[in-house]
Amino acid sequence: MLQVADLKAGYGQAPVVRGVSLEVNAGELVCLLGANGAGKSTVLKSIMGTVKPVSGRVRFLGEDITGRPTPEIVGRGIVYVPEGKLVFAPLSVEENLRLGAYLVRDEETVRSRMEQAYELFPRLWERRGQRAGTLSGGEQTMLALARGLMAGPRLLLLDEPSLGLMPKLVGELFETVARLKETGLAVLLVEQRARQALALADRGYVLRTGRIVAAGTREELLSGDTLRQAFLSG
Amino acid sequence: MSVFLEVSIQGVLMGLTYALLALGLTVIFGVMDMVNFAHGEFLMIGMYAAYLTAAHVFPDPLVGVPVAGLIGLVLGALSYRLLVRRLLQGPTIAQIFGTFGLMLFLRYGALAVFGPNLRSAPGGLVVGQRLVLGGLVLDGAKVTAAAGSALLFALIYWFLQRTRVGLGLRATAAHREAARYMGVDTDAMNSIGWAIGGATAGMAGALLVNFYYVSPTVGMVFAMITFTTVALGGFGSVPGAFVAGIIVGVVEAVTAQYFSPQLKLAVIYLVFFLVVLLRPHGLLGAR
Repeated sequence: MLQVADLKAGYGQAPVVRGVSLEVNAGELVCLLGANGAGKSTVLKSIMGTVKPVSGRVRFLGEDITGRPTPEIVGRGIVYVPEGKLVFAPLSVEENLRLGAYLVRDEETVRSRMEQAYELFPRLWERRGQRAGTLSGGEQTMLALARGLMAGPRLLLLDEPSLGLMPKLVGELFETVARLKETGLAVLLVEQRARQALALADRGYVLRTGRIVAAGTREELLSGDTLRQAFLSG
Repeated sequence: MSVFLEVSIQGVLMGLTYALLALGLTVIFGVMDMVNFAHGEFLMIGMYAAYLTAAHVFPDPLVGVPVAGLIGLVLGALSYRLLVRRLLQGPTIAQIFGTFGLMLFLRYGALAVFGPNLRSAPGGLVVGQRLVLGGLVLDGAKVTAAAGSALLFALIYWFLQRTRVGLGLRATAAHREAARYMGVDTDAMNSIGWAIGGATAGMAGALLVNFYYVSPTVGMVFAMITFTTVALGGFGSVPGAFVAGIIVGVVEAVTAQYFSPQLKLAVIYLVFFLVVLLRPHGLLGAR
């Protein structure tokens, strides 16, 4: 479904991603793990076209989408849920959800997806008229995820959704991600919480200073020293 | 009726046009964090569009309102496409001087084409009409400009709040990068923001022609008031533009009546200064 081949990208002169290849197949939940600053977010932003790759290829459903404009990539079915609770603070919860379905022209579809979103996250229904900026951190994470689902993604890119959440909420969040996978949605999950994320995943990649240093199935990565070594600095 | 009340009503009437002018500027600022220094010149071109329509096509500047709106819309969108979009790749200072240059180009271009003479509308349905409401005598042209401005303001507000493109504009204003992740074409939103700015300034100009003279430098007078209005209401705030427009209109009229017309701008800036001391982001500014 998604193939990233030898991707190099960065900001200005400094390369952050130095040759990353990875793959997500239909229905799979794949983790991209790594410590802070390993380049995980940059990989996702390069896929989305926000960061223009220096070299390498990104293919989605057989077509080359390397460096295409972000709205086009969203239109093709890759939806990115950004890190750090990027909700539209001055807009209402409901308007945030509507924006998730910005490219969906059929009002019926938007309405039924909104119902599903409220079913998945009843808290958002209670707060639908409130400005998104007044929500708690946990609620903003829910909103960002629900907003991403409004687009009807074929592939969901989740950028450290657990960041800054209380432990109890992290558990709930990962349960929700697991449920999404069960519906057949393909997910590329970027996380620092390696073990918790891998528990849900089919496969994983470990990124260190811009390079993939380990890859394998959940079992392969969970057994042995691979993870610990990858997270050691230097 | 007390003089104060009468003067205040006059101020509200003018304030509605200031609100419409501030709306266009604040939409552009909200969407792209950029001040359009040529806003007064968009107004001036709208005034000439209405004046020339009245002088040569149909003898009423009101007919010029849609003409000026259309010309302003195209002028705004073209300014973005041909100039501002390129400036965005440069440093911030280039963006500031870029629209400043556009202002000079349009102002002195108009001077070259239309000459320095002041011109006023040759007549029209509401030109010079007196409207008597009880003990209150109002200028029909000013009432028309106020009503037209209020209507256009309401229309743009509706557009921003209730349409899909309006939602895209507000999302871009709130967080440009996140808006792109929703599939919003933020570059198109910039164009639309400039088109709204140009169209509203143009139509405000056409409404003013019913009672205000036209000259190539007329934009300067209104631009200063408009910048103050936007800053007073809060940069990027649409309700702020409305409230601040009314306040500026009333302060201006009251000053002219009780002190001296020459002091109008000084007192407006004084009020602005006091408000910003207490609320640095303006009355309804978010940041």
